[in-house]
Amino acid sequence: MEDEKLGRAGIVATQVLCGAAVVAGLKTVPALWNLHLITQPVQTLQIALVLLCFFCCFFFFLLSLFKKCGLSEGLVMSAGTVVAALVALAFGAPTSFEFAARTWHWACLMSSLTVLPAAIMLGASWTDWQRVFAFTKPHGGVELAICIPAHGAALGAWVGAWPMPLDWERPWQEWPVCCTYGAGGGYLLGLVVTVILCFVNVRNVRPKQD
Amino acid sequence: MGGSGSSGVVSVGVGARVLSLFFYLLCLHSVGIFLFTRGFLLTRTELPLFSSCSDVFDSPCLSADRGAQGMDDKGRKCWTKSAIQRAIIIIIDALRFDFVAHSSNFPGEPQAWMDKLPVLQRLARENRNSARIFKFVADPPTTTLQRLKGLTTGGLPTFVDIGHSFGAPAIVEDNLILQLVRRGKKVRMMGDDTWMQLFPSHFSEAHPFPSFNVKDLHTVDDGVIREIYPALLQSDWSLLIAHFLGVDHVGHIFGVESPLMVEKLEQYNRVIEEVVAVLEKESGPGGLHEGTMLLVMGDHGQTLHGDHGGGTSEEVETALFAMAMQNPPGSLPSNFRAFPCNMAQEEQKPCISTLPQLDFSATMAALLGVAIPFGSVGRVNPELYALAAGTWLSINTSHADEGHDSHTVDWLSAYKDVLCINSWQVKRYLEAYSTSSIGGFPAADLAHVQSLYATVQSLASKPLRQDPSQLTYLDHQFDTLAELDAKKREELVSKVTGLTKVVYGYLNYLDSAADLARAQWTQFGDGWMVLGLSVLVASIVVHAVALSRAMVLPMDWKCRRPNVKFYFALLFVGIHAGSLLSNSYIIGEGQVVCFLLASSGILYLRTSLQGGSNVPKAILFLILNGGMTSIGLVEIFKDPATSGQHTLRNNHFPASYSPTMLISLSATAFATTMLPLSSLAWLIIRRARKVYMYSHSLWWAVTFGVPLAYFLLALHWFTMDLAASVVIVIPQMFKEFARLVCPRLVYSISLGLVGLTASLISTNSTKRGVSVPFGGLLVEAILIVFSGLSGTIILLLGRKGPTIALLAVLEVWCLLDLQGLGSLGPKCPDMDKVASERKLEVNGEVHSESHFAATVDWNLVAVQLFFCTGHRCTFDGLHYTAAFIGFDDFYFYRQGALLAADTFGASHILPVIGLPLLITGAAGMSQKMYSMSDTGYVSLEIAKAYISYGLVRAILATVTTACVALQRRHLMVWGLFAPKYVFDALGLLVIDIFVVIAVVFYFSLRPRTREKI
Repeated sequence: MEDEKLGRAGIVATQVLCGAAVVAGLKTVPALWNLHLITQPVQTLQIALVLLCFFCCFFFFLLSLFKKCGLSEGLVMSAGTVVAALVALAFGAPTSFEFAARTWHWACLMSSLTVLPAAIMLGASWTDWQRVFAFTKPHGGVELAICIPAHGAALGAWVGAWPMPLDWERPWQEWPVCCTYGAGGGYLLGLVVTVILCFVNVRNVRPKQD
Repeated sequence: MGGSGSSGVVSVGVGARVLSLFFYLLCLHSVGIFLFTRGFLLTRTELPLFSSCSDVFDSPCLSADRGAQGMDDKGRKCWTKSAIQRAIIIIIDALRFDFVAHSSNFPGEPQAWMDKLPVLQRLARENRNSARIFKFVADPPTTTLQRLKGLTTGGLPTFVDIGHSFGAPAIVEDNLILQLVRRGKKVRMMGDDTWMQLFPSHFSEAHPFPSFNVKDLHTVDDGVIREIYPALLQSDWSLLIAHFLGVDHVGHIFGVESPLMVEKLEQYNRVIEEVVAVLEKESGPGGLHEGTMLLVMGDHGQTLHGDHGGGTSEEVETALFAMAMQNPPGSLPSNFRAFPCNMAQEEQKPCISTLPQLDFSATMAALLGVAIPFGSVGRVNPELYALAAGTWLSINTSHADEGHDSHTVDWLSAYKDVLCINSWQVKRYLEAYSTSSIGGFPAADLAHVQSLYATVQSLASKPLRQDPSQLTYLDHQFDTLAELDAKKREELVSKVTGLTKVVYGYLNYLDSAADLARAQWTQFGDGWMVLGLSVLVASIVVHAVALSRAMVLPMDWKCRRPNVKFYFALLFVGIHAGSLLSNSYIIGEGQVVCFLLASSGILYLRTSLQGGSNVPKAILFLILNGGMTSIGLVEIFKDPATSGQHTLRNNHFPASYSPTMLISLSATAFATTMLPLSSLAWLIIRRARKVYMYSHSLWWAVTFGVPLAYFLLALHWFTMDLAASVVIVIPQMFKEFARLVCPRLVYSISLGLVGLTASLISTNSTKRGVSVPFGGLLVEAILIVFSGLSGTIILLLGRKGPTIALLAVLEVWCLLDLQGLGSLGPKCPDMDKVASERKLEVNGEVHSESHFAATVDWNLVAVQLFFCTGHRCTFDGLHYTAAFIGFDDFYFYRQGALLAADTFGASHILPVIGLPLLITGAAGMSQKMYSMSDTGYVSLEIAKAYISYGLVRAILATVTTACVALQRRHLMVWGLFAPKYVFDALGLLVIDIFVVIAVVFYFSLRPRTREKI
């Protein structure tokens, strides 16, 4: 298992840096250009994406040096983007043309938060994907680091959609904004949970076998 | 309730027990809803009675000589002599009281929007006797339509006025506009087109502008400003109504504090200044506007956020500014002013008194000299009435130089006569209402009020008979107060005192009558509401107990593993119910349901990914869910059935299109109607061939009846479309055939198929019962009823109908397959919903919890169908036009049934009928333990499914009810919560009734063999 070789430190460092990348990408770096998610969602999401992809790729590549890397990550990620966009539409995202760019960028973000690390680490192994995402039974610290933040991001986006129909007339209730915040928040929470699980007990990293 | 049976063994009586349980629940729900409605939903019956000028001779107010005086006037006098010749009513929608009144009347710093109509304040200051600002107090519901109704009828329109109109909100009651028209006076209207809905044919000239688009701040206002100036210079009207909408729209979009509001008010200020300038120029003796009165008023107020509809002081308080062009010779004694002003000294500061909107109609009728509308319960307001110079000169016009007190005596005497007629008219209305309406006034209160009338009437008739000459004696003998000696002066004072007493008596009576009416029509009955709500809650408890008992009934659940889907289903119901607390989620309930369904779909996808099976169906389910939602939003084809108010525009648009455009349009129509229709028909026929049909006649009926129905409705649509376009001329006879006969044929095919099914199955089941498994029979019956009803429902739903029907069928098909996954049957067979016939060996067990989860999803699909078929939980969202498909004439029950079928058909009735499909689908999994032919097992499962479904619906309806009760002081209670409550309550009853019918129907299908469990 890679777990032993990598040690906790590597996972924790990855998690912290990924979290930093999310915060920086959504908040700090766009602020340098006077951009804000509420006012310019598309540009902000683009910056966040660039940062996230770079950091994710970099750190997870470091983690997965042992693995045979395919070049299919990009393909998987774009497939993930399409799926995320379709899921958003199925959940009732606005279908009109003016929102298309926002939906697409939001889907890219979701994909880079959830699919990209998995694509790098799990490669093309269907059973691994199924185990991590369908059964939520990650083996080892690395899979935990993939699984929990990804679920956190998805759940966060789900929760983040709830304020949208309210009649508060706030700018952040626009379509991708609060879902993005929700996804980011959920992701960060997932990172924290992962780190805690890693530290508290290595046994806990191994899921209970039903 | 022990109907569900507490013993471990269910005996033969399971059918009867289940039936009695559902019947009991139906009764509980009806009682609960009735009690709650009685407290909450105030209803009023509209009386089709009208005042006429000659009525006044029935009143005790015209003694012989005065009656003769009335006749002398060459029949020109109606109930009262007209005191003003013309009136201009400028209505500013959602005019807050603090827009008009001076900011010193309000505590704190003057706000940005205050004192922006200075012209009104100036005029009121400069013309003490002829101009005043009133605080104009509306009664809830404070929505424009109800308020205009209240202003013109003088009644208290409730949320539901039981009337004789159906759909059209046109006023059928007696009203001010109608009285003017009957007297031959012309009424001209410009502005908000709500007036046209209320008075479709009353105006001599109307310039309505669309009020739908809230974001449009200027169209209506600019239109009014364009039309009002020329109208002022014309003489062919008696009443001019100009209705500005800008303030309302600015409030709705930007709120009161927005700078746009100030802009709007300043614009109105300019308009009013110019209007006043024109009027003043023409107000000289013999001028066009000599006897004109200008009224600037709001119909209701608004909160700082621009909301209105409820009963908070911000919403009900609006302003009325009235100015008569002719200066009256005297002023009203301060003891006749309303509350704050009868105390304060008039001279210090122009004091603002309160004028209930209820009084507007009666006062205007008295001023304009027409009969007071029959249903008015208001009084002729002394302050507004005294502004008009005409009311001061009504008796003796020859004495120009009389003293002030003498004027007062004249005026009081005239006012007393007006009040006498007014009181008599109110008394007449109260009596008529009590005898002819559904729920009259409480007898004791009514008797008390009427006794007040009797007292004041006897008081009023006494002095008149004692000294009829005194008044004229006084008037003729003494020119000025100074010349009066002490005795005469005393007489005059006693005269004033006597008249004042009578006037007070009348006013007291009228106030009590108005209070009685308010208590009847605007007060909630909190006790009733609590009672009704507790009955509903009790029904939920009964439901839950019945369900939990039914759950443990059939077998010992050795392995009751916690089912994830069950908890999620509970969560979804909780979220759905909780979301009803907020008005935003009620508006967006369609989206909420779509969101929950998609979440459910993701869970299904996860489960099927675990099993590695049925993944395409889960994905298809998600896609269909998205498709259903977007279909609800997209208007594929302009549909007269779903967009009733646009019919006018609709009739015009084909003419403006070129033939190529028309061809492409009809191609779209073909794609969106014919393709889904034909695929539906294909599905049904394919299904019908596959299904084990035990009656050949039924098979033939389905195979030919359903496609014929689809063909007929397609024919109907295309003929209507072609007829609407001017390009192709269609023979009249064929057009009429397609318009009227086709829909009727579709209805009769549906009815015939359902009837045939019912009769054939009930007769056949005894013979064939042994060989045909119950589940199979059930599925067939459901399919036939479904396909039979589909024609009618698609026709009623309009052009979107076929697409939605196809999507819904596919979605339900996916759902039926997917929900079987809850039991983790790993080899979920690729089968249709009628899996029962194939004896499949599947190792898995059915969790009763998974039934609950499936029912929750079923309910979500049903609610989604309601919204994506273009319905909304508001009364203007009803598809009234659907009720007239195939019929021109209006019959209450027939059209009501069609409307109900359109509103509840797809979303309430069909899901109830189809619910057993869930069981037969799921029961396919458990062939090993219980065969589908085990009648007892299947019927128990069906009963459980119905109990679960009823429970979910009851929870939702009860939460809605509780929300309505909690939010009854909410701003949008009349706009949003009350309609939602009505829809949910009606829907619950519809579902309960159809559950009872379905249970009777399905249980009568059971073979008459002894079953045991």
